[in-house]
Amino acid sequence: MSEKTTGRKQAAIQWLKDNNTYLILLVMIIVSAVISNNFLTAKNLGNLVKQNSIKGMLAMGMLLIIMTGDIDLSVGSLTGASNVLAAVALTDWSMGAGTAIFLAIGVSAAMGIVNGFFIVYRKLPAFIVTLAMMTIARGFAYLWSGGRPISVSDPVLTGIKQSEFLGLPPYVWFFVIIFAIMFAALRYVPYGRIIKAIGSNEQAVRLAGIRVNRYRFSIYVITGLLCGLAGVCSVGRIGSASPLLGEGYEMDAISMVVIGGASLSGGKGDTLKTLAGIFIIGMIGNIMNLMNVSAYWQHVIQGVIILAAIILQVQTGKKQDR
Amino acid sequence: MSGKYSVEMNGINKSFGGVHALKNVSVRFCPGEIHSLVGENGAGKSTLIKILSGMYVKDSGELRIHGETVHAKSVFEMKQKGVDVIYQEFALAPDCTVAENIYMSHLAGADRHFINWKQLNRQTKELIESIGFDIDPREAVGDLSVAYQQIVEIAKALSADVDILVLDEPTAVLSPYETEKLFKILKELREKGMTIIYISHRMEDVLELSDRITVLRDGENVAEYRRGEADVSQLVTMMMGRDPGAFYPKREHVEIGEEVFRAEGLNRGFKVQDVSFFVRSGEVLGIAGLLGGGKTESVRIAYGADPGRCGGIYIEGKPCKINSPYAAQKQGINYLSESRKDDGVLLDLSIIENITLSNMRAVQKGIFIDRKKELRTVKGLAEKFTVKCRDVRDPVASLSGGNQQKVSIAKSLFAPTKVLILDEPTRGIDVGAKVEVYHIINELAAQGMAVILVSSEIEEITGMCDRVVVMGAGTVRGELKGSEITKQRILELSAAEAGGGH
Repeated sequence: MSEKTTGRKQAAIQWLKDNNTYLILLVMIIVSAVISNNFLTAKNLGNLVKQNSIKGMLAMGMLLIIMTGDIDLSVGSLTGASNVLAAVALTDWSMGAGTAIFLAIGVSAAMGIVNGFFIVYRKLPAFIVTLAMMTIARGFAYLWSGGRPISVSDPVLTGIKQSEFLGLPPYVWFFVIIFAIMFAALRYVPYGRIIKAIGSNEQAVRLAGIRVNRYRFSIYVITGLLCGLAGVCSVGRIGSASPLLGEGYEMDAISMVVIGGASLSGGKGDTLKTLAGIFIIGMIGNIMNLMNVSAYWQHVIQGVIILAAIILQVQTGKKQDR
Repeated sequence: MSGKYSVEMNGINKSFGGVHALKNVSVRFCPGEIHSLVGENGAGKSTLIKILSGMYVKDSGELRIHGETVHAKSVFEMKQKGVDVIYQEFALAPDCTVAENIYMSHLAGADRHFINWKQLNRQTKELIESIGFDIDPREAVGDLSVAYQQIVEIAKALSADVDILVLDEPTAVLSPYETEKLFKILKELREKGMTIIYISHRMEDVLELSDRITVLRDGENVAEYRRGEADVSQLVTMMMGRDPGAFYPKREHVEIGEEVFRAEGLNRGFKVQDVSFFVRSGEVLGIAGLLGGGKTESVRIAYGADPGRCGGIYIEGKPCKINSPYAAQKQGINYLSESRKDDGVLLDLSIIENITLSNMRAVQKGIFIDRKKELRTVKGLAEKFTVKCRDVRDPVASLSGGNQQKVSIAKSLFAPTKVLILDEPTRGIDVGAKVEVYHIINELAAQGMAVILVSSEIEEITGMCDRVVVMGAGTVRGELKGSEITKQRILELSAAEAGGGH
């Protein structure tokens, strides 16, 4: 009898530990609602979604990469490069909107292919390869733009922001679709299962007769595509392109995924929790802006929250070892 | 009276959650004795040792070291009392040198600030020579063979004035030759008055070495024997609590069919030199030999897992190109790795996710995984392979070694299999699970599968195989059939001109 209740109690504690991301999100929503009257308004929640959809795309790619136990530092620069390329192709090279978008996303995907080639087929560490790509892609963003911001008034691109459906612009819907695909892929399709397995024990997966390299390579291409899309969307959203765009996005994307319970050593990760992670990171900025807290403090607090989330998760892991 | 024992453990109890791991266990260990602890996985051996080492704290009971009651709560305190444990997974830093590893905790010399490298290395050399070995103190530990790494572990214990030495499954990774050397050292240490506590699944080793044997079962001390009082079958019966039946179950007469798989001219540097073998359907082919003889390396080249030159692979007589595990599996060849933790099972993933990994197509509906079918299939397999688990959705890490191995076998067989290569399938698993694995092998052969059994355990080879290829120093030393398969013949062939060394 008493064993049964303690068992149930333990199960409840375990559940809370496994789902601490949701718990953090819930606490943040409550705190935000209490300290600011403007937080729970439709307008602000809409802004929150809009502000984080683009970074969310990067986080989805980052989730795949972190699940295999690697990391990608170049996502911010790839986004920057593709956002500049789309604008330059439209204005300076007077291409059509379709061609420009296709080119920008294609070049970003190509950079992902280069990442994947060196990491998977040349067996170089992902950290170093993507660090190099981060600098290279940022360099191209400056070269193509000449270092200046470029404003864009093309109707197709600005349409990404304006033509709303159910009160939300297309780029938010792009993110929703990407999220839905990722959610299904990781939970119900062998592809996702194998990505997780590779992060857990790559050699064992290889010996099970699976072509591990193809899977690993594919995630860098997917991430490149997502960065390209994010870049193009942000041109439409802001109405201009800047070579500075995307600086620090890689760190935000990593934070979102890690707060979402993924382990940097791979084999663990969840789409829904990553979504919670995206909003946790996003809300920090949002609520601070509502409260008129200086941007400098925002950095400090974001760091503290990441640290807190990780402490919780690592403690959980330790308990499970016993 | 109490002065007679170096370690007394009286009425020890320990629980984890609701599991009573040790129930009122009392054991006494004497100086100058080799005392073995045996029992199946989960019998409580490791828990008992962890209490002695200070890693766990007992719930109740009394622990005395040299007659003095101890309430140690840390490994450090127990080391101060002279207790050291050498675990299966060594606690060595592979990139540091032998000397650095041995004197890790007190590297600085007499002045306590700077390291006197000359003195440190000389001291190390003397220490290792004192137990009859010659290892360069400046060599990186990672470059040594497993056997020599173990010597370093022992030397490390001796450097810290240990007089109670616990060895957990020390011979699991050693060849017979290296095992003999280890036994010699242990016997010498016993003569010097050390207390040696020895844990092993290898009953032959235990019987040869021990002055006294304590049998644990389900957390209880069920028997104690002195040298010569028990034999293998008695020990095994006591450990399992029932008669295990034949240890190496006899296969019903199976018609051995046509050749299914042939590997010719496998080469990889000095490790594998021109190795060829073949196997027929319904046959169990043994690949025997000393550790480092090239057994694992050969089969891994044949499976496409490791690079190497290959003269040719023939499946049912037709030449095939196999350059990756993927290609091998397409041809119906599957491989069970020797190292369960390194590349066998995926510990964090569930039993389901492990088993279906190699052939997800079998449980797919369109592009999606048919979760119901998957669950049903895996439950059936878990039953068939006698995997003892609470739920097939639990992570594999929650299972005992033997059950992990059964999951690993089920995983290897989930893709269509004509040829199954089992590399050390019973390493580190308990007696009961071993017998179950042997039954599985027999059943597979009876169904007409070709099985290749790679093993360093000679009894296993002689007990299970229809034909044996003996390897040594990277070459095939000979082939034995039927009644020629004896322990002595295998040892003669494998050890011929292999003098030892690294």
